Amino acid sequence: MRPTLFFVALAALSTPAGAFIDSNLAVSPGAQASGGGCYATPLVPGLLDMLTLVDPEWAAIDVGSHLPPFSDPITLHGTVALAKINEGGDLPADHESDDQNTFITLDAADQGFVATGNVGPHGEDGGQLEVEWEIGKYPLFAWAGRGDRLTGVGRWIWDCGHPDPDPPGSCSVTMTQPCAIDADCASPTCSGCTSGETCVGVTWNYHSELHPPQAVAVTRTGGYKHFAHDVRAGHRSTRTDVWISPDGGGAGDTCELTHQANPFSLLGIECHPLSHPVANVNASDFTFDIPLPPRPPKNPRPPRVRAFDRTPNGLPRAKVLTTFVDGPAPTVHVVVKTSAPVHGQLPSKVGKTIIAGWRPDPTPVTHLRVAVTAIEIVNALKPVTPAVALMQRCSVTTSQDCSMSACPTGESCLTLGGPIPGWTVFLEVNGDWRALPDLGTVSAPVTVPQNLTYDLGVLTGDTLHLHATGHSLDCREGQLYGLSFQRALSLYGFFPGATCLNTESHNIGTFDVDLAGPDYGSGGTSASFVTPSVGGNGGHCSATTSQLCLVDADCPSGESCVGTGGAYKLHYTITKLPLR
Amino acid sequence: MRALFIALLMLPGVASATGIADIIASPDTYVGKSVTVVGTVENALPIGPESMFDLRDGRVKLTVMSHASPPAAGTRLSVTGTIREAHVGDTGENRDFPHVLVESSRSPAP
Repeated sequence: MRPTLFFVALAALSTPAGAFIDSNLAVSPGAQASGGGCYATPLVPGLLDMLTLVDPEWAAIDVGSHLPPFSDPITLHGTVALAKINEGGDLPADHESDDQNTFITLDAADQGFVATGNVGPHGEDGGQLEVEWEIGKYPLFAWAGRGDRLTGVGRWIWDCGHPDPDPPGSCSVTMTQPCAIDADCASPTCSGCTSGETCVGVTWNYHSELHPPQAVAVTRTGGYKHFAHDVRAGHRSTRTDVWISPDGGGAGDTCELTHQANPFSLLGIECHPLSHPVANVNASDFTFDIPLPPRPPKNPRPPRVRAFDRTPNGLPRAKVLTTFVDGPAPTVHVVVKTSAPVHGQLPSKVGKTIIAGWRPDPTPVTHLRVAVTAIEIVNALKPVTPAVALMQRCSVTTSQDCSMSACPTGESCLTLGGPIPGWTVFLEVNGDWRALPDLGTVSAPVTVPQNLTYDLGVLTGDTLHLHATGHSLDCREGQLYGLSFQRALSLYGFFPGATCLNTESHNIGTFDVDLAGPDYGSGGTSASFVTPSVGGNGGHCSATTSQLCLVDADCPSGESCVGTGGAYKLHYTITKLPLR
Repeated sequence: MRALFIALLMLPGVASATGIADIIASPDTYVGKSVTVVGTVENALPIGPESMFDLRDGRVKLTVMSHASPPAAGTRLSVTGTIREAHVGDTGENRDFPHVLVESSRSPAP
C-alpha cells in the first residue's frame, strides 16, 4: 500500500464519530496485513470459492496495536429497530447455535462505526448496524425490543461473508472487462488482458457489525416495580437488563477467527469445542448511562435505583456502582465492576437488572397482561422425504453403521439425517422475550398448549407490541451446529453432509402486531385472539388442496405445492388490569 | 467433411455440451436438469473417497461434486450431471451461492 493510502486508511479508522467507514478498507492491503481483513472471491465464483468468504467470516475492523484476530473492543450506543433470530440459520461449522440479530440505529456520535456497505444498495434499513450474538450465549432477559436503548461493548468487525461488489470494478488496461479481484484481470478469466493488470474501481459493500458483543445493557421505559425484577407492571421507570460474557460462540473464538493461507484448510481444522475466546471481560469495567424518564413536576428527590443480580448460579457476582447525574436529561451512571475480583475470583458471565425511576411519579401507566395459551401449528413445514436418509454412525469410528453392529466400547451410536422434528419460536411483548416451550417434537399439524404470561406497564402513547421470530428446523440447524466441516464430513460423508448443510430451516411466517391505547386490544377488560402468521413457506397441493406441503415433491405426481404461508396461529388473551 | 461433422456431433460430451457461461448466466433455468459441460479442472479437492473440483471454461467456472476421486488439475474434461442449488449459511442475509453440478459421469475432452 502506498504511504498516502495507508494514512488515509488510518484516518478513517480513527474517526468513529465522523463519516461512514469505507467498506473497501475490509480488503485493503493494510487490513490484510498479518492475516487480518477479509478476502474476496472472483466476480463469478464457484462454490469452492465460498470458503474464502469464511476465512475468517468476521475480521476486526481496527486491530490497533494487536495482531489479528485480536482487537480492542468498542462501545456503541443506539436505539433498537428490530430484534430477531437469523431465521435461515448460520454456517454451523463456525457456530454453536443460531445468531440473534439486533438491528441498531446508532446515535449520531457513533455513526462512524457504520460502514458504507451498511447504507448502500446492499445495506440495512436506514444504515443500521447489527449486533449479533449466538442465541445459546445470550439469555433472553437481555434481548432487546423495538425502541429500546442499547449500549454494547464488543468486537467491531467486517462481515466478510457478504462482500457484494457492486458496482464491480474494471481491469486497469482492458477496461471493458468487469472484475472484483485482480485474478479477474488475468488469464484464464480474462484471455485478452495484458500481464500485470489489476482490478480498479470496485465498490465493496461489506457491513460493519458488533459481532459478538461481550457486554450489552438494554434499557426500556415502562411501568416497573422496584421490589422484584420479574414484575413488569408498576410506576413509570426504566429497566436496564445487562449481560456480560466472554463467550461469543464461533465469532468470538480465536481458532475460528484465524485466517488460513489456503481456505481449503478450513475443511480439516477442528476448533470445537470452542475454548479460546478473544474477549476479556476483566480487562475493564462495563460502564454505561441509564436515561431516566422526565422528572415529575415539583419532585426534588433523587431517583430510586435498584440492581438485581441475574448472574448464573455459582459464578462471581460483580458489584454494581450507580451514580445519579442530574441535569436537563438526568441519567444514572452505572459501573459493573468486572475488573475486580469477588472473593478472590474474577467475574466471567454476569447478569444484572437495574430499575430506576422517580418516586413519587404520578405518570399514568396501564397494566396489561398477555397470556399466550397455545400455538397452533397449521403446517409443520416438514418435507415428506427428508433431505438426508436416516443413518446411524458410531461417534468415533464414524465409518461404522451402528444400526448393524454395536459401536466399540465407549462410543455412542449417533442418529443422523432422517426426519428433523422441531420448531423454535421466540415471542416478545414490548421487548420481554420468551421461548415457546414444548416445540422440539413438532413434525405434523398440532396445537401445543402454552402457559406464558407477560405482565407489563404501558405508558400513554406507547403501543402493545407482540412480535415473534422462529423457524421450522431442518437438517442444517437440527443437526450440524457445533460440528466442524471435518467432523460433519466424517460423520455424514461428503454427499449427505453437503446435502444436510444445504438444507436450511423453513420460514414460519411473520407475526408482528401493534395495538394502540387506551385499551390495547383488550376491549377495556379482556379479549382473546387467534392470529395467523403471514407469509412464509408451505401451502397446499395444487389439485389435492386438502393436502399440506412444503415443496412440490410432497404432492401427488403432477401437482405442485401452492404457497400460502401462514404456517401457525397464536392463541392469546389481552387483559387490562387495574394498577396494583 | 460432412461425415466428419456428423461424427463430431456423435462424440459424447461434445455435441450436447452446455456452455458453463450459459449456466452461470441463468442458473435457475438449469436446476434439476441433466447437462454436459466441458472445461479444464481447477482446485481439485479430495473429500474422503469423493471430491469437489472446479471446471473452467474461459472466464467462468462451475464447481462439480463427484462421488469419484478428483481428476488431475489441468485436465480437460466433459462432465455430465445435474445442476443443483446451494444454500450454505445465512441466506436470509442475501448471500447468493453458486450452483453446482453433481457429476454422474466424466470423460476426457479434446
